[in-house]
Amino acid sequence: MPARRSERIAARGDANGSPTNESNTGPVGRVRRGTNSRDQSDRPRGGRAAPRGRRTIVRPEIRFSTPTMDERQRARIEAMAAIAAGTDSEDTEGSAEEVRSQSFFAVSVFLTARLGTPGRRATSTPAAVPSRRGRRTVSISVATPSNPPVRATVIRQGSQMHLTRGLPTVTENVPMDETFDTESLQSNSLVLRLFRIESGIPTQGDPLTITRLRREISEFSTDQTEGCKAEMVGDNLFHWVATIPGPSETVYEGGRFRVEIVFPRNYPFYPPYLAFLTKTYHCNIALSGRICLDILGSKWSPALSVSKVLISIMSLLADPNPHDPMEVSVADVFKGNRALHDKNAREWTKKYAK
Amino acid sequence: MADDPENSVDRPTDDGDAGKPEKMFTLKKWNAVAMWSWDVECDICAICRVQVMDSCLRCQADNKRDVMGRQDCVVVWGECNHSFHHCCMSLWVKQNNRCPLCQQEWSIQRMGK
Repeated sequence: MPARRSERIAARGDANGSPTNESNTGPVGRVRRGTNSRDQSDRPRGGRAAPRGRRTIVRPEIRFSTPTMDERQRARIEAMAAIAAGTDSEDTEGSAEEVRSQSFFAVSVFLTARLGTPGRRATSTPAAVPSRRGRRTVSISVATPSNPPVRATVIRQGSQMHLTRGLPTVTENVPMDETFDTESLQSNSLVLRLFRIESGIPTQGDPLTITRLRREISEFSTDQTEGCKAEMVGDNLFHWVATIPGPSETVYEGGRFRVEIVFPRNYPFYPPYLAFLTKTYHCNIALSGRICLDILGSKWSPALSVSKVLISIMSLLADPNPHDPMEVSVADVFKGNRALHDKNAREWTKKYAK
Repeated sequence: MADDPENSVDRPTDDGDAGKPEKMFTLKKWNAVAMWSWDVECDICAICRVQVMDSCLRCQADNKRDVMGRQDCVVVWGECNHSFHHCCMSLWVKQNNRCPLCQQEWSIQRMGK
């Protein structure tokens, strides 16, 4: 065992020599390292701990053998020197050969630690695939600065998910017999459960947001919102309950559909969260209460307001879009048997929206 | 003969009208004051719903905190000729580079007051 270690040290010494020596002994050194790797590959079958150490040692040898990367080699040599200085401070006794062997062992351990850590992080984060690809091309010495790209990727994914929040494709499991009073919404909010708002319903915000919300809720005291009404839940300016009348000359006529509204802290730069509290037979409104409306997601604009969103929902009630449904079964009935769809919608309106 | 001297003495300006009553008020002095303003429509920032020529809601709130004086809120015009406060529009452009009103690609045409 010690004889083999001394041989490796000798080979590395030759590689780190003068450039003329490198040019002369290059192919010879490579051949020797190849033979060493083959021997190591045969022997690891016997022991468990040994193959791991040997495998890690092989990779840095290959990388050190590239003569074109002079600057990188120097950086690595400096790193080795720093590690050697650390080991020297710990072990004062021992000959020069022993010190060198200890330093190489420390180098291998350090490289192993760097190799292992990114792998664990990659498996834990959902953005594993792009980060892995990125790490394959980046050398080991740059492993530490590779953390920021992972964080940036996660942030981007978060923002993308936020933008497409208004167009979900999975219906949440919400009990159908559940009823919502205005008082119970303070502690039992449907929007919180549907959209999983981590920070809860906000109670404070920018003066821009607060002043604009006050102006918007004062709009509903007038009769310019097509019959829609809105009020705060428990004096919280960021939590509203609105009432949308069923459009006239439609199957929803005569109904009063209640909608819960929660505003984000940075409204109007992000759209509000809306959910139907009244069960509605509509192919673009899920049974859980989610609404398939593009202006609540990717097509949001700060020029829009709550009254305009409610009017858009009234328009959605009057003109369903079966080609982009939230409830596929309702859309199928709408396409195949329109009379049955209208009958069901009228029955649901009489039963739930009175 | 007696009526003529009475009219001439009491009402020197009215020669022909004898039955008119005496006037209640007399104009003694008048001063002219003029005011002017631009005869144009002032746009409203669609984001904070305040006149673009006034400070936006955020700067108005900041003015309450600062005792140094009134902050000058800058207006920004896009290529589509829609105008907003620069404070409001910079927050929106961070996440979506579209005009809030016409949904076109946002590019600044002019910035000023």
